Amino acid sequence: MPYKYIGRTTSFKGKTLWEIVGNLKNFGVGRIVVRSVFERYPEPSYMKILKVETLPTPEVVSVDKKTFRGKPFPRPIVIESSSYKTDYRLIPKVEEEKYCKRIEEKDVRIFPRTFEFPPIMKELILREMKEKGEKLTEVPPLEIVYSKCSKKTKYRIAKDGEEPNVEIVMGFGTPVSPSLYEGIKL
Amino acid sequence: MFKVLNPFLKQCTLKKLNYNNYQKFNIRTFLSQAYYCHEIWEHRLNNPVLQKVNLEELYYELDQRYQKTQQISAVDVDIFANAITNESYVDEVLDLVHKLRLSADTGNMLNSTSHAVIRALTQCGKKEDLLNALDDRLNYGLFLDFYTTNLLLDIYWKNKDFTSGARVASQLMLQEEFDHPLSNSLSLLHCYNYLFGPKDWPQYPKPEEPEEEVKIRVKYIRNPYDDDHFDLRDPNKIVGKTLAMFTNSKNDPLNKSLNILGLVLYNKQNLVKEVIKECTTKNLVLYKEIIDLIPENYESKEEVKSLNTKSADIQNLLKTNVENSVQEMSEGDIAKQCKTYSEWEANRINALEEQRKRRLTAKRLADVEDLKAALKEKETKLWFFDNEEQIELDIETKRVYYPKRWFGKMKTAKNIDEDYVPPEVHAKQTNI
Repeated sequence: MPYKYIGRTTSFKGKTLWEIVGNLKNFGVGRIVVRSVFERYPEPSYMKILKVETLPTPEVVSVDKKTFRGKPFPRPIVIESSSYKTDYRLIPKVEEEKYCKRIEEKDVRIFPRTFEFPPIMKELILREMKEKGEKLTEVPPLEIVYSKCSKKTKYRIAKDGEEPNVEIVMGFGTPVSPSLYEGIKL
Repeated sequence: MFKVLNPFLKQCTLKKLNYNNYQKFNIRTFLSQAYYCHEIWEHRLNNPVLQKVNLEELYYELDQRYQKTQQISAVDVDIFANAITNESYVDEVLDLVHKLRLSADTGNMLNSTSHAVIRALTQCGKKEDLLNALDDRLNYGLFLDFYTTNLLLDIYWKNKDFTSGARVASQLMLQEEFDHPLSNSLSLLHCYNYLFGPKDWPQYPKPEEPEEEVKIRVKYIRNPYDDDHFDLRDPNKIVGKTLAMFTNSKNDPLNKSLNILGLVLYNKQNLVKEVIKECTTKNLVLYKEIIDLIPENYESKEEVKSLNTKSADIQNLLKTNVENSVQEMSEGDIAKQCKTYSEWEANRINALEEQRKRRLTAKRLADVEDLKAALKEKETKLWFFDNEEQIELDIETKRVYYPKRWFGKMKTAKNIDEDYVPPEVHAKQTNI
């Protein structure tokens, strides 16, 4: 090819927001725009354009209602600094419904609410309880404090009586890539 | 002589009487003269705002302002576009619309601007310019609404210009607006007729490439992406997609056959197969003429040939569709358009007022600032001797201290020993 462009590569696949919105009547208000980067998740992530304002040279600010991985955000968001990214794709009106309904109910990971105390601490607590004269021979379980789950994840803390999916183990547990630990006793 | 004149007169009166009979005279347009709303459109020039406009001065002023401030206002462009009456300022209008599109005020561009520009360009017969501007939405921002689409398609039908009609229809397809039955039927008619003699679709020549490899440095390389919608350039695909999208939701034989034809031209094999399957299960009988338009080198031609077909006069069918829609929609459209024109006039006056007020307040603020600065100057001059000591103290505080530049530690010159002989280095043999 006679013209060879040299520069940094990007993993974007699509058009800039201005190239989409400038081609549509009324700047595409009410249409659904999708970022190719978010299409790697099985749940649909899309943005419905609510309002568009133009800036000089091909830059555009759009206010839209975002749905990320199947969960809509409560308040509309503003796309300004990321409108230059050549990553956006317009969805035809005919396919809008089909695209936005593409939610697969994946298993929600439920984390246990309580956990056992470490052994030495257990002993100490038992001794304390005996000194105080409490009749319990078992140590009450320790309630786990999790860092606040983000809206984007599908994790949940088990409520009373619910069976947790995920097991938190003292020690190694099952490694993510067992091939690296072959032949080693865990 | 009278004998010769008589039939001539008779034909004239016949034509006048048959003004509304479209079926016999092919040259006649589908839409009545009332649909064109010429009088009401010319009536806009009676508006006091537009009467005061001097096109040359206005263009000069807008140009100057743009060169100074790189800003152009949507209302001004709207007034300019609406004030055009002849073809002398057509290039200027396109230039202004282009500048507006690239500035920040594009969001405020009024609908009447694009309507006025389209009407002016068709009146002057500048078909190529109009179609190129409609195709290039990023640079011009001219969009068709149903009324202008119907006007354009009607004019192109009169001139038997099916290529232009197909191009206009493709604009509707790109905006995905299939609501108006009149526009739908007219577009199908034009696309179908275009396929009989495809020609004159503009081919944008590729830019000249030098023989040797020329390397250009860019910040980020853009990955090639064809979105199959705004990026379509092949006329067959465009017309195919237009036909397919217009006839998607309908189920009668005419629309289904046009759907198959469209999908074949657009090159979507799996969709064609689906539609064929649907037709065979529902046992629809399609139209032979339309199926025959499918090009010979199409792969699944056998499947297509297996469909039940019957013959019909497609042209007549399509034309009757158009006539039905005309009768249905014509009056409503005319009424709506007249109302829109009056709304636009009111909007224009309001927008102009607001712009005037904004500019006035901005100017007043600027004047006040200037006045304040001038007064301050005068004050320092008048009260100089009273404030002399204070001024002398102030002079000290106004002194600017610049940070000292650090050139690095002061290096002493190396003492070179003249008798110094550098040692000989042998590569050591190490055994592992």
